[in-house]
Amino acid sequence: MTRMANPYVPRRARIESIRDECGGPRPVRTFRLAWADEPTAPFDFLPGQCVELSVIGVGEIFLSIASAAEDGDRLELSVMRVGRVTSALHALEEGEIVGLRGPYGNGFPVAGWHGSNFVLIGGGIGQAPLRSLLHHVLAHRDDYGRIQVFHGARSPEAMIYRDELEAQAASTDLDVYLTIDWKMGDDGPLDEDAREGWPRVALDDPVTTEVAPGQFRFTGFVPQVVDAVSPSCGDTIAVTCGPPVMIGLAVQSLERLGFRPEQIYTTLERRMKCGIGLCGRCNLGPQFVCTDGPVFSQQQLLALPEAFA
Amino acid sequence: MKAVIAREDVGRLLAIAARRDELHVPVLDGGGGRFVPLNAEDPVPRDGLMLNGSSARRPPKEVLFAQTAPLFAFELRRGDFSIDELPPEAATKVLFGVRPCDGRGFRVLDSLLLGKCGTDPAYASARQGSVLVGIGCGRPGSDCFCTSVGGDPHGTDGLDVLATDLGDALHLESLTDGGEGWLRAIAAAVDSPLTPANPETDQRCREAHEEARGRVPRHVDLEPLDAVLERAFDDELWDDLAAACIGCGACTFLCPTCRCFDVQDEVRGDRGLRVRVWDSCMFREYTQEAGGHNPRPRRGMRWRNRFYDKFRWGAHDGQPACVGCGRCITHCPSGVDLIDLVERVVESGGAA
Ligand code: SF4
Ligand code: SF4
Ligand code: FES
Repeated sequence: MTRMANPYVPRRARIESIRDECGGPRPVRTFRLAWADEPTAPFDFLPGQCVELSVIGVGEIFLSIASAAEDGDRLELSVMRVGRVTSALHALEEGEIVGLRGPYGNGFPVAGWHGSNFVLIGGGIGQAPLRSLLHHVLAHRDDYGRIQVFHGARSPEAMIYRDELEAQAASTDLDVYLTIDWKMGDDGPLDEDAREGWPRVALDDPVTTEVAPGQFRFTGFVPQVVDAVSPSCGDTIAVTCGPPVMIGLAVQSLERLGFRPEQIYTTLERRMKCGIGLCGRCNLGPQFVCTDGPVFSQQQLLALPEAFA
Repeated sequence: MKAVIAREDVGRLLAIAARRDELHVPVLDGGGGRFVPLNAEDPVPRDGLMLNGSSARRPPKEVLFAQTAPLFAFELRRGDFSIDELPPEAATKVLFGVRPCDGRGFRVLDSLLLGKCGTDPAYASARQGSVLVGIGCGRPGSDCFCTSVGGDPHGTDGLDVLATDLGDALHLESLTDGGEGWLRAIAAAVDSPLTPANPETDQRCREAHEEARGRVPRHVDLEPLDAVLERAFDDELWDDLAAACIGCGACTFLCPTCRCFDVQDEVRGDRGLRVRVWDSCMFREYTQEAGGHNPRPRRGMRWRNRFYDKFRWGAHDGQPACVGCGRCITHCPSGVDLIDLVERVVESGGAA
């Protein structure tokens, strides 16, 4: 009897470093991983693809990769602490070993996007797959046009990747629009101090909110900021990832700006188990988010049941 | 090949079969019947063997797709671990007494677990070389509707051998190379009770098939369903249809074509197993994300998913993923009746 490879078995990966991205009740940490048995072996994947990450003995989670293959022989995963496995993961230290299998899913169809402009719209941990895409695009900067990154969080402290995005905006041809929810921080309404550096209401005047060349700051919900900035839809791909409510409103904003469904992409989140189309859990009608997704165009989603559930 | 065996010799046949391979037969246990392993030295449960009348409550899927199956073993060390892959199933499994609907059920499971996406190694190794010896249903159970979904009480799809009950004898016919090999091996055993089929037994066989077809008690016309499902997804009807359901998941656990599973780590001391365990799309937790979002929070949505999966999305080879075994109807504690639901969906016309 021929012995087939067991697709459920993860490989050992070493946590090389851990970076705190944000605190609060749902903290996010970024884990930088290398293959434990072959530290210089590369990770090969497309931006937007996913992995299954195991804390052996606790369980496994399906995650969008937060880095790009061009970043080298390390993989970065940003993990929000929300449940059992993510809590166990947050308790691990540098040098410890996790299980990793993948990459899974389709990833962003970047090969077909050469020459495009990008509007990336992320909220919270949804920025992780967009970071993967952005790293890829910046590694091939000449292949693409204008890049506008919208990124929102509930408060300045809850904003992940902020330093990196502002540094990218400072050093590269890239516009970054950061926004916080002006009504609520993690501990209730924001006071003036917490809002320091973040204009209270300037949605109607994006120009005055430019805090440095290419760096803009707002207070407001991400889709409102998109409305205010009104990116052009010509030759542009828009990708939005984040909470379902935000995605829904961002798509409406984009459509008002003239984006057609085939220009708008998103990554979907579902509860996942197997990651390989077997356990049945992540179906959108006849398709599986883990194998057919997680990246879908708005055009595809309009034809799939429960896509907006 | 075709062969005949006297009714009272079935026990001898099973003893020969059990000497050769890992044999599983349906027996009436306290829980309404299930497939159990039978060793060569075990006495055949004379009254308990479920070769006619209603099918076993639990379908044979658990023989090849265990309710809990290890994916691999691991050992935990400080901040590290090692993994032990488990050896694949070595024994050839022979399932004797598989009903034709359940034989078709394995075809559906094959499409899901050995499918285009990936292959489940435990199912693949259990399935490899398995021999499904079917037994036709002379007297179908009270909720059977196999003929409405492309099946037949003596259907051969998915089976390797089909046995037909002739009253005082069983008529056996091989349908695949695997079935042919198995039947020849049984016939070649020194103490084989098989005798050759003849025109008279062939004739009685055909009559039994014809009669059984007329005895399938329930029918549903699926013809108009697909067009309605095309429109009915956003209909309000689903919450109504699911009103009586208590979400116990019995319908999915007992369904020969349901395969959804969960993955869990079982740890004892510093050793453990990662296992897959049957799960059910009828449970709220099934789609509950750790972050709080649930795309299927209402029971009506979960029923809708199951219904569409059986009759539209899961369809393959032009047939629904429901094989009409009737178990989900007979054993639903709330009396939810799938046939009734199909009819109500069709009546609604998908008027969203
Ligand atoms: S067996 Fe009946 S009550 Fe239980 S989940 Fe199925 S339909 Fe609902
Ligand atoms: S849906 Fe019900 S009748 Fe159809 S195969 Fe499953 S258990 Fe049998
Ligand atoms: S996670 Fe198992 S099918 Fe997608």
